[in-house]
Amino acid sequence: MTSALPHAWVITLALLCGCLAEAPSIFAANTQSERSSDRHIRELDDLSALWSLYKQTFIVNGRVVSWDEQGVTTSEGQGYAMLRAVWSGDRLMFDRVWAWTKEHLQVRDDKLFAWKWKSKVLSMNSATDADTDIALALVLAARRFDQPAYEQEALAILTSIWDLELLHTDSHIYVTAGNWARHEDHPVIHVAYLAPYAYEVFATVDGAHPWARVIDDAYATLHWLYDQEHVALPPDILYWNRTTQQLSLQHPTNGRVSEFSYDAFPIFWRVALDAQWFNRAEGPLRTTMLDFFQREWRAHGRLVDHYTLDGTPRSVIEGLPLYATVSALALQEQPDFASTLTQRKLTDLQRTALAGKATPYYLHNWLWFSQATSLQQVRHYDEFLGFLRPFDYEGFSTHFPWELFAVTIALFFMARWHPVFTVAFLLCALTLCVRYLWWRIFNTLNTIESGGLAISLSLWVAECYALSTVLLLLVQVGIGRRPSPAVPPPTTEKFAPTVDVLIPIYSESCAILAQTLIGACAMTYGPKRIYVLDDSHRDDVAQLAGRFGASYIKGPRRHAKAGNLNHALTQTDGELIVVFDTDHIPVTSFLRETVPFFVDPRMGFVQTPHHFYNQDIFQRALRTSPHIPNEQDMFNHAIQGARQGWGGSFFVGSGAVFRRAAITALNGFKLMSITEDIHTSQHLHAHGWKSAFVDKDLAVGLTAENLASYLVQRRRWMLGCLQIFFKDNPLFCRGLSIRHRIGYFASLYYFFFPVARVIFWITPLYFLAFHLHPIFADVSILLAYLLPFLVLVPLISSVLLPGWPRLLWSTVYETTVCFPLFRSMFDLLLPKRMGFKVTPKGLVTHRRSFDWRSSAGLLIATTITLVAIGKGLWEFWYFGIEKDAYFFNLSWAAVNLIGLSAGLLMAWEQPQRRAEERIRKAIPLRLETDGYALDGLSRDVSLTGISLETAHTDSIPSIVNLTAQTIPPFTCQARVVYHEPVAGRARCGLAFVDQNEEHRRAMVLTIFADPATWSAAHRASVRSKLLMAGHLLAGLWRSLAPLRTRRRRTPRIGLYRLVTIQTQDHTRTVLLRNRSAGGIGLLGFGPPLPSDEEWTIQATTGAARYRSCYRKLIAPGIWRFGATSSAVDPGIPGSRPSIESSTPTTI
Amino acid sequence: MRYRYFILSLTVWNLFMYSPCTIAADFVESWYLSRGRANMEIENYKAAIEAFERVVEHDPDHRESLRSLGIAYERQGLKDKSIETFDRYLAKYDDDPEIAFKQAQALEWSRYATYREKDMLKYYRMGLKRQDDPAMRLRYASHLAAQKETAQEAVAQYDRVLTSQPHSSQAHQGLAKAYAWLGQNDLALHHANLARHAARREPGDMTALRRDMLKGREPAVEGVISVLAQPEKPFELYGIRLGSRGKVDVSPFTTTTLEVGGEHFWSSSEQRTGGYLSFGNQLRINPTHRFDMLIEYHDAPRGDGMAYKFEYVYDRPSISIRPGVKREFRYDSFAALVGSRTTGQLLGLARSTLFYTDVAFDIGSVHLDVTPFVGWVSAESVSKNEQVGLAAKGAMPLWQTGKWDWSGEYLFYVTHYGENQSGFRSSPTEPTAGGYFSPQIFVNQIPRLAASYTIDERQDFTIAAGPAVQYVDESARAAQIRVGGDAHAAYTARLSKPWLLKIMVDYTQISSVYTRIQGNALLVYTFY
Repeated sequence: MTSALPHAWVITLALLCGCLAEAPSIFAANTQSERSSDRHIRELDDLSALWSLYKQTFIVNGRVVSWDEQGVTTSEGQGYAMLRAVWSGDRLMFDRVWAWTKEHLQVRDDKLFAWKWKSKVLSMNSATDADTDIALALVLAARRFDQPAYEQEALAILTSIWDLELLHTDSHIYVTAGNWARHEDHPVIHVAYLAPYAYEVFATVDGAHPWARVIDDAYATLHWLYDQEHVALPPDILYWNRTTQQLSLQHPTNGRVSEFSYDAFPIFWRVALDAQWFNRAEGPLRTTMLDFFQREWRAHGRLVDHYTLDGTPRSVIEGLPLYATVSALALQEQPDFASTLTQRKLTDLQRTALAGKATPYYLHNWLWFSQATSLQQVRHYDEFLGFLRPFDYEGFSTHFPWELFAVTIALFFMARWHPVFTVAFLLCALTLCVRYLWWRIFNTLNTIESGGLAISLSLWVAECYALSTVLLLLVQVGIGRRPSPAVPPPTTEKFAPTVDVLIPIYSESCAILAQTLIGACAMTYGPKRIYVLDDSHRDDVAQLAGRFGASYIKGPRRHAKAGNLNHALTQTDGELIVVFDTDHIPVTSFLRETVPFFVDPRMGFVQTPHHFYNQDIFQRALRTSPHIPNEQDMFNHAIQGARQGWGGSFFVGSGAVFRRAAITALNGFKLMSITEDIHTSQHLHAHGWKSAFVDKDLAVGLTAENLASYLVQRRRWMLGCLQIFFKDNPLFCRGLSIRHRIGYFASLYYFFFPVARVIFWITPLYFLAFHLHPIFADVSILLAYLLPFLVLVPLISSVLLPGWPRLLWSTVYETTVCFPLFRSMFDLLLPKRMGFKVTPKGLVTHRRSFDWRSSAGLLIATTITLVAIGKGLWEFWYFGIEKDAYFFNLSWAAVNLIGLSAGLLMAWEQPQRRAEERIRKAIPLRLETDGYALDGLSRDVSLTGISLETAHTDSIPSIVNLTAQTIPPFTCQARVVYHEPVAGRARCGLAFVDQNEEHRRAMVLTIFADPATWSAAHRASVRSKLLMAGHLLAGLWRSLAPLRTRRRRTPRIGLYRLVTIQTQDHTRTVLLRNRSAGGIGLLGFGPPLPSDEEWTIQATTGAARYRSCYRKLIAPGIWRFGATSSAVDPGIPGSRPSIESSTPTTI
Repeated sequence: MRYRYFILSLTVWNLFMYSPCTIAADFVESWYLSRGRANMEIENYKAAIEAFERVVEHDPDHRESLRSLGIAYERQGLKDKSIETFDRYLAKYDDDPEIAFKQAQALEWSRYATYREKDMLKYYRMGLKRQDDPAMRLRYASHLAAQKETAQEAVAQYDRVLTSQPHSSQAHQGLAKAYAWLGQNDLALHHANLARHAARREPGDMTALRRDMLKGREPAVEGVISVLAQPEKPFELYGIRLGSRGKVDVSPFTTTTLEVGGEHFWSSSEQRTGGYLSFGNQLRINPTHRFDMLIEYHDAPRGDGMAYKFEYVYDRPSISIRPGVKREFRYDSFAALVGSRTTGQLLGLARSTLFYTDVAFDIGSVHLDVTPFVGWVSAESVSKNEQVGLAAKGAMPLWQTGKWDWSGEYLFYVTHYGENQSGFRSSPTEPTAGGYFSPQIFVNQIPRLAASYTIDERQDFTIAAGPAVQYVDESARAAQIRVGGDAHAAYTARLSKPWLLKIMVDYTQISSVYTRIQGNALLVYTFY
């Protein structure tokens, strides 16, 4: 570690220097990128101008005239023009060229095109490359211009190409030079006519012909050339040797070998286009094809127009079109080489052409094709997410801070190694986040549309809020290693201050209070007195307190809980005061762990975390695994623990010990706010009292159990905190240190999240509903700035609070409550509505229900979102413009909708059938009855029952004597509720029978008051962000699955074998799915089996008799049956199943 | 009745079948249109392009969409597509000067200069037809002025601009260029000067143009020495003149010269000294028409010392016609330059007053210059003597060898005087001989060989000489064929950039009666 430290500093210093050096450019990136985008547009404009010039120069009434070739017209030129017209979006010229081509060149008996024309057809033969290009252009035009008629014309051409221009051998399909080639003694194949990208497109429209084979054979031809014949360059033409049935470089008769020249140039572009369109995995081949050109360029700095196949120059004239086609291929494999060719050759050639200087027709075309390919204008219009094209990737790339972002991500992973990396990560991440906000405020605000400024500014403020909460979190938790748990100073035996345990109660049930009193009484500490502070003035509460030896104090019914406590302060005199909520059960060691801190005379209070033994609403709604932390765990452990490091932990309402002198100095708990806890802490700290946080679960309670109670709780917290924020803002509180001020400010400030959430929700709807623009920016540019922000803000939180991942969860937590809380914010203006409301707890429901009242805001928001999304989708589909903007806003709204839906799932409450929560605790158990004994280990336990896991899968008697090996041991009768197999073992649920008060007390002490129960409560929590996100998504899916309403008392074993059933009238073969001691499950096909009949089932192990108990049609002709044994099942010796035991039982 | 039902059914059918389509089409179009407008307003041109493209797909002639589409393309930076769209728009709607001008300006781009220039001018004309925008007219005219073929139209356009904006610097600049194209250098310079005054800063090309136009117009001062020798007695006369001449173009259309000096003449018996003042001015109305004027006053001759010349010049490349009137001193007269008295009769300097027309033209490589003239000669103590005649000169280049440049010349001169007043001879009553060369008919024809020799870059020398065969019909005597001659030599040396030295010597011999040698030397300092 000692050696790692300097290294860490060195690395970090280097990174920081890099960041600082780059910072100006990062913030100036806007200017650079504007230039980049401008350049891209300029290049597009040049491309367009090249086409305009070509049209004006070479196209006369739809006829492409090669002025530099004696004014002839070729089908190749017509094909090129049609492709260029499609890719230029020039419908007018496409129609004109196609009309001329049809009229003058499609004059053969088939659908192919005569290849040469000048005043009249000079040759009726066809050229395959031109026919392919024309057919492709028609297919693309059908897509580009939404004219299916073009595709029909293309299909006719494709049939002719297939029949007349492809050579079908036994094992291959070769593309010949034209209609004439197939009939030659040795058919000619033009290498440059191979167009695999076109065949791939043809395959999508022409199902009648296997075009995929043509692709394979096209590449096979190229592989044969480069890999077997080892040519440096492809020849213009090849031959198919009918005698050997193989390809040949030499003419089989005269032995002549074609060389590389103009005719072969296009092959490089065609292979490049295939790679660009379909990512063909032919990289090595493409690299091989480029090898010669790279060598030649390095050696001579130029490429000539004629070579032998081994690369010997046969000309001194530069092959200008070759630069273009090779550049296109190089762009796929060797971008540097492509860039060199562009800079050194193509740019000048293009400039020359645009200046109107004489440029040959062929070069004109290839300059355009090459440039269009590099600008991504050459498309097949069937791309995945093609509607987003043209995505300005260059603009995105230029604006995206690749280097800094990469460094930041790397630092994120390194942050766990050393705090120095954390600092570096935070610097980089915050730089990028501030860069985004900087860019947003100065470049993207909508100052044009009516209301636009308010919309866009509010979004910016919400984004600033998001970042500011992270910054404030940084202040709260700091950087560096987590502080060690607080250790109390050494004490002497004489140090035993008197302790008053105050348990305020208002509307909670006595049963809950009873458990707390059991725990409080069991606390192992001598000089303690217990007080029940009853604001409800109930007699049964007084009686209950009396039963447990606690003093009963009637509350003043003023100022809610704080008033109740202050009133008690006047009635008590203990040196220390412990406050427990009614539902918070302390463990026996609570005072032992906390009181010693008060050796320090300036210690004002000691807080313990809130630990909840029931599931929060999210865990319950999503049926999460027990390893998912409670929603409040992060605050109760991570944040409070980190604040402890600098003495900033604060009172959270319960489970805390106060020095009376400290409270007295404040004249009691603060009454200004309904969240008296944080306000009181604030002033204790302001008066110089210290605080400590003991990060051990020393008191356990109940968290809000349904959405309504959750909202009550959160509303109280929010309003209370905002009261303090506006009336006694800690930033201006005298006596507080700076960090305390900011720390308290952060805690209060957090409760503005409903505003931010509502803004994030409504912002995309402005566009979808009203076409208002919250952000003025190209989507590509916006993403370049936004993505780092979106990624890094959660990562910053993750780094600041390692081990407490909340990826996606925080969205669900906050979305669920943001709408009602947002509405409640207006209650600040109406103080009379801000009464203290106790969080309802201990609820029991047996059915799944939907809380319409609590979710009204969510429902309205969801409905609005759905309507807006519906409208947006309709416009997206029907009108088909601004697709990138629609896509962005629809995606945003969809994400919001998921959050809203998740919130609604919280409102769609799962049944809470158990009155008592089950707590995971392993207790050795023994089940006994007459002649039957089973040992096991409890899996979880509650005050009313227990479950155990055992390898025993046979049936268990309905009533057993249960002995728990606790201290002291505990015995009672228990009823088997279910017994089901789980992963090769069995799980058994037992309910205690005839439970009395003593029994219940014992269970409270065993379960709740035992510190061991909670000592490892968080050890198995999920620590991975991705895993947490996965759990959330799985939970969302799981929450929609139907509830399992019934469980079996006897485990069923899967069998899956065919058996024969004999009924009175039928004999039928069915699938035996499973079997238990009491019955079987079957799957039958065809008509249903008769019910209420005895069946004889014939299996290989013998015959047995069963009676049908249910049948269900699960698919047409497929039935699921259940049957119970009507005789002793030879498969389970000793069992005598009864109807009762085999009937599925509700648990 | 059945028809009513049929019509009603048909109406309902149409309502159901077609109206939704129409409404849907209208709705779709208006939706796209509204999106296009909204996106234009917020300068989201990429989206506006998409919207307007859709409208144009539905309705290719949709005026607003075509127009807005072109604008959106332009603002998005896709200028070529903008141009293409405006081509389509303007082909249908030629009443939109704003777009016409925009399109014309777009086509000014050098990218389109090679093949869209005519369209560019067409769009300017289209716009100007609807809107008289001086700025656009200036641009239009500037393109016209760039080529000689359209320079005249450019002048017309610039003039229209100047009627509304008389001090438009750009218009004057354009006119300067156009006139330069047209060879009207004076006007070019004039407008260049006006442009310079109108604009705070003169563009470089205009400075260059003005500098070009000013070449040859620089102010200059000259020192002049002339000597004259007529040694033939008894009409001998010698003279020397020293003068200084200044030349300046007060305006681009005028060249003014002023010369002052003194001269001294003497013969064997008499001497006369005096000063002289000469004022000349050339007024160039345009390259074709100009007016030259010269007025001199000489103090040395006794009596009327005025001489003048007023000449109108019509100058075309094919022909030059210069009618004029001039009054000049006849030094051949002069024994009586200073005047001699005989019996109370004063004899002195004769003065020719001639009306003439000089016509110069080319026939093939031969340059001909023909000047018929008519007038009279007056001198004190003698009656007016009418004169009519013709002077002609033909010149033809012959050959060029090295630094020599040879040409052949033919001079022809014929004149008729009403009275031969040549023969005053001394007598007891008139001791001093008098008169001037005025035979009844005088025909002089001189075939002459002229040569020019370039010594080096700064010096050249020319010489022309030939024998004269002359016919002199003196009424008092029989007509005679006589032999005379003519020779001319000149030497020019450019001493330095401002200094020029020129020396010319002329020798004329008419028969045996008249010999004249005249030498002139000029030392010129030009204020570049």
